[in-house]
Amino acid sequence: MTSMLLDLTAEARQLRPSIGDIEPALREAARRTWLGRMINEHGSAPVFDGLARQLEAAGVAADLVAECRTMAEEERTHGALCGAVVEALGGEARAEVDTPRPLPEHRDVAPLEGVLRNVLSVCCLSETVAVAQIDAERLEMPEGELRELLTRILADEVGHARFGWRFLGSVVPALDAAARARLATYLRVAFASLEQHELSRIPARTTFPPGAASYGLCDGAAARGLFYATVHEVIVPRLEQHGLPARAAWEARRSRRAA
Amino acid sequence: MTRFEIHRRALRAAAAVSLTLGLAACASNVVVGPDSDGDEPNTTASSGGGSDSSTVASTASAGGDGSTSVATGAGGAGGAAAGPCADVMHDWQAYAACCDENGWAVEAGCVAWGPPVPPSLEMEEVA
Repeated sequence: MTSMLLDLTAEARQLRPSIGDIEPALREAARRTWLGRMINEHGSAPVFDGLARQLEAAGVAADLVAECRTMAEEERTHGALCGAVVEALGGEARAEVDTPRPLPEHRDVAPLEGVLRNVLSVCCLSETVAVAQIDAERLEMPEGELRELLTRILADEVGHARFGWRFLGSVVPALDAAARARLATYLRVAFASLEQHELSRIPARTTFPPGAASYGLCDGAAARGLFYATVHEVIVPRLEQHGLPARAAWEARRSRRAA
Repeated sequence: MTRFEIHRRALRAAAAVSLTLGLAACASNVVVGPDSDGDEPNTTASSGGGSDSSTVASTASAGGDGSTSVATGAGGAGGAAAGPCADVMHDWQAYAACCDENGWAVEAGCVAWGPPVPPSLEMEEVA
């Protein structure tokens, strides 16, 4: 995989929040965490650009395509906002990043069913988890510019998740039994991918010193717990309400080709 | 606000965004049950009958200040750390080394927000 330079210093320096005094060890941990977030958020923009292209190709209404393009722009803005925190912590909003991978085309199914898989994974799974995580982190922060910045990001993520659930709700009822079965199979793969992605970024057995939550540093065990709670208490029941066998898909996520 | 209450509110926000008008009214609520924080094996699903049935209203909004009438019970998975990486948080180099040992992608951030590229079925077949 090739890499490229992501340089958001110009935008980020315009957006720097006031951070205040922070002890050096904590500052470094916070700086690297927010740099990671900058990369992660900015890297999500091509995902939404790709979704927009696939939605358009599938003949979905133009306003939904436009909404998806707006979400891509929002992810770029989030990258700059996270970079602004890096700058406020004395770092530089600049990093070497992997070049974006294309979205899977799912050529084994019709375009609408294919893009539904991707929307399910991106919006209904990942972004719904993100809403819970960001809201929890925000609530642990004291009032201030950093919390305001996080609130702004959260507002957009709410929109991204809602988009996915709306789209799912409009497409799934028209699927025949075979298509639902195929979606259930994909859901198992998507759950496995979600879990792997989340856990690889949430250290399991670490706690930061008191006050770390003020800078967006999370308690790994608590974050993992919230992730699983979001899956079990929100995502799975809601997908079941849409007629998808989500509980079985989650339980089978570690067994290949079993669902 | 305790971490328990924070997580309950965060789950309500997530439940609110997942609500769509197309669902039948009798099934349009996701019930956020008692705090089940912790690693997956001990986490129980709750889709309609938790003992602390705090039903998510369709009008709930993420970050809203809706009341949370849950009992306090802070603790859970947010408790004390254990294991070899438990005491390294004041020393960034030690923390980074610990992450390396455990294969944690700390450079990607403590919590991954932005969605990654979705998987394909073919990816599973070659894994």
